[in-house]
Amino acid sequence: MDSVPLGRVAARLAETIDEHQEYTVVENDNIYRTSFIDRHLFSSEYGRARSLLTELLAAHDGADLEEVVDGESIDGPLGETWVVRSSEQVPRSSPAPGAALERLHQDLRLVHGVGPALETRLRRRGYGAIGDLRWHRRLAPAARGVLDTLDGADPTAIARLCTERHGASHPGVFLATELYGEDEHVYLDLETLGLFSRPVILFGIARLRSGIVEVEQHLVTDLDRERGALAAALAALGDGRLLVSFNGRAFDVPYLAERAAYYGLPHPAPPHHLDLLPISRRCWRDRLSDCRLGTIEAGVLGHDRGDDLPSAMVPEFYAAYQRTGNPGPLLPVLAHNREDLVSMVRIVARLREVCHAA
Amino acid sequence: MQRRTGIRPGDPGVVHVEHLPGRAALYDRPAEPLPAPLAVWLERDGIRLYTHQVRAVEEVRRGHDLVMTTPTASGKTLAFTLPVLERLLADPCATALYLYPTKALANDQLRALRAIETSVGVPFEPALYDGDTPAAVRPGIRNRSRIILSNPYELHHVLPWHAKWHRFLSGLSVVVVDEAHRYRGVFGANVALLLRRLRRVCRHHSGDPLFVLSTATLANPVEFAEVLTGRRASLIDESGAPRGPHEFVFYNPSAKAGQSTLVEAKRILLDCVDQGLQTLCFAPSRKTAELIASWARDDLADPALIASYRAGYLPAERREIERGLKEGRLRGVVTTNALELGIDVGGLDAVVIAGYPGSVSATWQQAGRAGRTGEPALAVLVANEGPLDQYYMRHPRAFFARPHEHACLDPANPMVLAGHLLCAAAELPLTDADLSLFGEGLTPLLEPLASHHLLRPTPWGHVYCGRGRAVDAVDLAGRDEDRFTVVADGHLLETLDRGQAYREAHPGAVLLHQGETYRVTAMDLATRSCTAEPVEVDYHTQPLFSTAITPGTVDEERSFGELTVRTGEVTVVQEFPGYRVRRYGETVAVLPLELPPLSFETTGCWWAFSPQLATELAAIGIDPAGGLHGAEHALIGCLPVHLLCDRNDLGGFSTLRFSMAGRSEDGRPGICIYDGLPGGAGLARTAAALLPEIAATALRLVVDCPCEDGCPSCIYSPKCGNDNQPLDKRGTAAVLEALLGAATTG
Repeated sequence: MDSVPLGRVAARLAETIDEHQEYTVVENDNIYRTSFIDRHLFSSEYGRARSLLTELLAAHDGADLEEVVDGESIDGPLGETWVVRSSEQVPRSSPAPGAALERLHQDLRLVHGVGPALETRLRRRGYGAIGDLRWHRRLAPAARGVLDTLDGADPTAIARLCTERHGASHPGVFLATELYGEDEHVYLDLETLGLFSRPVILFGIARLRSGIVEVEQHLVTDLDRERGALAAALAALGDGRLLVSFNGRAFDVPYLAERAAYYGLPHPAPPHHLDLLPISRRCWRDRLSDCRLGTIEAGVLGHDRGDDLPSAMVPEFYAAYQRTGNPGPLLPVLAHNREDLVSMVRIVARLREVCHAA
Repeated sequence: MQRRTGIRPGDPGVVHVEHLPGRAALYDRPAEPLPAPLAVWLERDGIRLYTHQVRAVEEVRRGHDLVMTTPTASGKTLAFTLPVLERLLADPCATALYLYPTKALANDQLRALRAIETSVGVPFEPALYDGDTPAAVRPGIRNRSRIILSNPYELHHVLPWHAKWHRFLSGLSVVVVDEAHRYRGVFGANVALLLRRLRRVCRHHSGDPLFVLSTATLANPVEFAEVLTGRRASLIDESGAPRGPHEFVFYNPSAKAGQSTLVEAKRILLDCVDQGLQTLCFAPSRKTAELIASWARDDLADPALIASYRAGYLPAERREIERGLKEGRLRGVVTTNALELGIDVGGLDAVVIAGYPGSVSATWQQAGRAGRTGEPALAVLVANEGPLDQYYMRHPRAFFARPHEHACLDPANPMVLAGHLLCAAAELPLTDADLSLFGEGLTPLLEPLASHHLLRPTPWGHVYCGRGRAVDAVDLAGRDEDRFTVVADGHLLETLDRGQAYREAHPGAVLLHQGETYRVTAMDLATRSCTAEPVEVDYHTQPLFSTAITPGTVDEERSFGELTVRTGEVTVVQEFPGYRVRRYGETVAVLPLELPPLSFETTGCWWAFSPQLATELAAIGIDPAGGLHGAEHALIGCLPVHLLCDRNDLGGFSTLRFSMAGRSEDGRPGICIYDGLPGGAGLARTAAALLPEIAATALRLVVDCPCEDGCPSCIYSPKCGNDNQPLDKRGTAAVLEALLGAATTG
């Protein structure tokens, strides 16, 4: 049936898919409307981003990737990929495993059977730590189990215990990760073409070495290189023992697994994973209008990113790069991703203060 | 003893009585015994297997796909569940997927499967996984359930997450597709491609399921199953279940003047109730169900004997009706076809069907509600004036003879295929290995999809790279994106496709919605929205439209002497110059409309006659244009006898002179029938293949109709854009005879 206008069929599909935008522009920046919409963009943000795109396309017209993006081609496990490296100094803050364990030992409610009321009664009677329950007639077996877990110093087991007893947003879940050395942390943030089952265009990975954040961004310079970049990123993640993300439990980690499955690449079980979103939400919900990473930065860390590219606009900027070959629109995508990674490091330092004091 | 019946002796409305003898059960045993847990359960509960259930077990043991056309209440659930459980018991990793067209059906079947699980005593953890399944229980079902019940809409959204479903998909051993006949037309094409996506994802996870289908009785069950799943299936069409004697009465109100279908149905219902028969009456709509029920109650000393039931009743209300019937307090229930879903009334004594339900199988499904074990049952079909009703009233043999309704779908429709290719590419890169699943239509679509930045060729295959979700590009029910909304008082009344909106929701149109009347006050083409207001008016409106068709590539061509039959691409252009305002059958005004022409490509078949046909007809005093137009209406009107479809699924066009420059049809008189769905739904293609049968039915429909000059029972079409002008009944017969003569002698 070669007379069916297949070009028009494709155009109709493209139109249909574009009509299902995954973000909504909120007119007049009306904040009261945002609670009804999952992914929102204020119209002022949207307008700024659109004019930024125009400026970038004009400024870098005709330029090559190498001239604009300060990166290098490396040999990954599945061919060449493009990597952008940078580093940034942040204030020193080191994990305090001893103090963290001590705090965990004081949390009587980690013991099965101890609720708020019983905890108050136990404390009144002088039980200050789980060790004191070792000889408690009824609670002893459970208390010994908890002690075994804490003494085992396996952060995954401790975090599981905290999650079971208190939920994923409890400070104990953070304290459990204090048992990892700073150089065992690996931070992950993906930029993608959508919320699910579309290519990843940037794999952002960061590590901390003596107070310096080392950022390594695997950029998908062409969609036929996604598989190679994915393999390189998976390899780069492989040596970390603690994966840190912001909303990674719902997004980055399953996304990575899905893309690996899509391309038939082996996907090693992720190491211990600390998702900063639930804990941040619990700590700062009352002070902030929402718990986007940028909002936490501004409201808690006192750091203003200025003209940051909203995440929801990333696909649009990448599409402009694909369409024109002009690498200009990639710059704010790389900058945004890098800021996200550095922010996560700062949030960890901040949570350390909060959770140890809790 | 006198048989109880609601039919009065000598009633002139009775045009046919069919006596269907009862039949004893036919039992069998599998060649090899069933595994212990199943055998123990059947033994303990005294369940003997019917022949068709045993055959299902044997076919699946041989690794064959199945299509079963056995009737409702013949133990179908057990027939496909026994082989499933046998496989699940043999392999601890094996899983099964049951697909139902609606959530309500899946809900019903979940109860049945849970009961079986309890009886067998092995935990298969059957579970429902659909849009209503809470997020919290979803991972548990994915990771543990060995039988999952779902629907195509949910499956469409689940497939992109196949990595999370590895356990279930890699073990997937059987896919049960119940009520498969519902997957026809564009919905069918979508489901066919969805099942291919399922097979593809299973293959990736090393799963290789069999497909077990159940359908209503069809003329082409094996072919239908093959198009739907892409695999060959063995047919099981003999039921071993017992059946009581059945008396089926065809009742034609038009045989006695002045009575309407609904009034007669009400009277027969009351006569049945009077004779002590517990009776179910099926009405074509909610409104008519309520009408019949209220009239019947008015005529009764005790109105509490009759209840009405429709979709949307609360579970407590349903249970009350079920209990009323069981305890015998309730003697009659009037219902829409909603009764098919979610209510268990058991067997009743009699069924009254007000108006032909549109297909033979739907009629049997409703009639099958009558009949307690071994007891005689009565079914009465009360006809409307429509052509199908009248055809079967005059030709009851055609109803009781072997099945002749074909189910059609066309998964090669590029408009449907393209969307599923995107979904497939979002699930796994699209490669040459997928050609065998999606067919040759795949290759020519890749380039246009890539140039619109939806697919990207990579060394690993074509990768989806659209900016939105691929699943959003597909609407399984086939409602395309080009839809209009009708809003009244700030509420959404309904959504219509563009063609429907032009015909039924243009400015000034009087729109019927669930028995309420609305007038459309505004239509905005840019936002595709119509505004309507509730009104009480005594008139209705009828659009005027003209159709022109331009044929494109021809796929198939046959010549019978001077008659040429061709199937292929057609471009349909419809213009809407205005509409009529009609009161009591009279046109009181013709008002203009300003709508742009509507144009779409689809599949059509066209018949070009000998150039002399017009002069020959005119020579014997027949209006040739009226004859061609009438033949077009009669052919479309009787298509549902041969194809499972609604007459609205097709469009027609007739002309004294085809305008097809450079083709042999040019200048010849002809008729064209096309699929109303852009891209085609496979109906016109099948109609061309069945031409002799369809032409014969159309001719009988016209010749046997007692009217003088044509009427709504033969050649008038309620959807005609030319207000049924011109029509010539004698000419219609002559044209159909020419068509039939050529087709059968050629």
